[in-house]
Amino acid sequence: MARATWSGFLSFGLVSVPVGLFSATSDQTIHFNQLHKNTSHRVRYKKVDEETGEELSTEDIVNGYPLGGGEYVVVTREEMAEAAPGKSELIEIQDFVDLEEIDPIFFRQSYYLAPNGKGAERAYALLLQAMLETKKVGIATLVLRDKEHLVAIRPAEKVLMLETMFFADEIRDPEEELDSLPPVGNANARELFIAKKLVESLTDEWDPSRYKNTYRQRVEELVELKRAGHAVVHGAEDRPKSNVIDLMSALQASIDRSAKRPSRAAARATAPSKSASMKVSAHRERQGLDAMTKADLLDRARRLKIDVNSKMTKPELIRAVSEAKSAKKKSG
Amino acid sequence: MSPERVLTEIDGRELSLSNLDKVLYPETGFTKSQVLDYYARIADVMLPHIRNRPTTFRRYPDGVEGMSFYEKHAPEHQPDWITTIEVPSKRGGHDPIKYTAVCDRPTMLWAANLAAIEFHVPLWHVAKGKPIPAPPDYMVFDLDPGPGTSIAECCRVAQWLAERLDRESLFAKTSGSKGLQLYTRVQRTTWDQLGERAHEIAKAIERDHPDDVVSTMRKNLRDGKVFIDWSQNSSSKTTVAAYSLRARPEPTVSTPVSWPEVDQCAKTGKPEALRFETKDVLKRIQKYGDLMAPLVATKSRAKSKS
Repeated sequence: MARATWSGFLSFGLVSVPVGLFSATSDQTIHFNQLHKNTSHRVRYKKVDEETGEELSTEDIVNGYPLGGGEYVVVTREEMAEAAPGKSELIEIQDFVDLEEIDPIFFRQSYYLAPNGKGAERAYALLLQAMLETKKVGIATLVLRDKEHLVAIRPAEKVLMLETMFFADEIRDPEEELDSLPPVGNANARELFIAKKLVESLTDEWDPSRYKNTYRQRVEELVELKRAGHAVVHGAEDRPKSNVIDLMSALQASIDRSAKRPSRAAARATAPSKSASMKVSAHRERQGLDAMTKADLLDRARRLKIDVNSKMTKPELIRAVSEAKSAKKKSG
Repeated sequence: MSPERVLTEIDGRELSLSNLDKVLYPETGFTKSQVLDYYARIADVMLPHIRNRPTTFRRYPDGVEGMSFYEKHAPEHQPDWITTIEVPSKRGGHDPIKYTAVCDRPTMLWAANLAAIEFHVPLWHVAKGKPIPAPPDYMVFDLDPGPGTSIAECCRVAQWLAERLDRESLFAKTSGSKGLQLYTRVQRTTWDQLGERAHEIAKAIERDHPDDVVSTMRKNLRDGKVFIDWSQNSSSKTTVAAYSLRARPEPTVSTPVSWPEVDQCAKTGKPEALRFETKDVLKRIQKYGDLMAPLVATKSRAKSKS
């Protein structure tokens, strides 16, 4: 049997039943790993400092509540833990309501509640039967994974279900979300009659097994077809078929091949001054300058021996550097 | 015609190299084979600085202008002759990370073939009978020039640091990017003590030279000043390794420099004097050998004493 996500007591009035919580649904979406197209290596998400690019570990990260204008209030994990609800071992039913009163929009996720231990079975069965016969649903709160949940305990045929629910302030108002909603109730009587006939003629018993996830089936077939056809890539390197050669001579051969190809900088220096390629490269270079930080620009300017100072704005620096560069090119 | 992949042999190991002709530095046309060639030639002097240290690679599969990533995890498909180091997470936050340890030339070239342009290592190394992470070997100050300053200003700050610490035991190298890094050997120090001491020194220098130095991370305070980053004195932090290439427009290298060079640069204010590309570094090795060798060598002396 699966492991309980949570175990504790379900209590109402003076009765309390030991219970365990088990997920009632399973996600059947096909999951892919992201691979680097060229190497077939796995792709990972990494958390980095937006400014420095430094990769961060969990302990380097705090939560900042944005105040706007780049200002934040920093809240530490410890402070968050203090505010978090304590672990609860109790689902205490506060009210019983009619199931029909709850709009399905409130339901988040379904769990099975199972009696925990032999001694619990009698009380569990009693509660289930009482709820079935009164057609009532129990409303309670429960702390699950550090979060407080509103839950509904509802009787199914053989089992008590626990549905986690949204709180009222988490439900959006359709009139605020949607631009145009026509008034309902003014329909032409004859048209309404025909529409209702149509609905009735299409009415059938609800049979969930009749509906299949055809997209998933097609993807599964595709994967199986490719696997059977050995269209499988390895993250590991394939062994080349060529003979083993000395590493340094392999490198030298490559360096010799590349020497015949001019570098971007060399291409710029030798390009005729009015050609289109010159314009393109000047533009590209200009873009490169835009992407540089002010410190980089100052650095570049100093190397070009231009008279600049740190009080100059970035656009001023870009202009100075690109002018100096084109002057240098013309003279050279 | 350029073969996509060649099977090569170096120091008795077989290495399959890919896309050797690929340009990794578009500005200068520096190719992957040139990156590998540099690492093959520098390996002898670089290895003592990274051997037995869990290495984080900064990889640029599409060259220095493309996307890059820090690689801590040793790839599963790496050859079985490569040494790995399993480092537990600091506070049990995640599973232990299995790092690659670059202990020989084939490993170095294997990594470079994965477009690992930059090698970053921590301040500790793995040794028999020591915990992981081990106690610190060095204290490091990473001098980062703020807007309007350059490595020349960093050299001035290095001189001030040298006044507080012994000049003989303080070793400077360029970051290969914009700044300067200073290393000094430490012994029987805990990580907490190391971090505190580095912070104190940085604060003291900031106090003496408030117009030129800043010791806090805040970016908006750095205009016209040199930031003394003392925070790398932590077992979980890494610093770019001596002789590592950097992913700059040109193939510049994190290069050890001598005190006369530091003094000269501080005096003339010419940052380009301390900017070295691969070919410059190989020439310097011919001329001076490894200027940082004594930093590593003191370790073996300390070892033989005990």
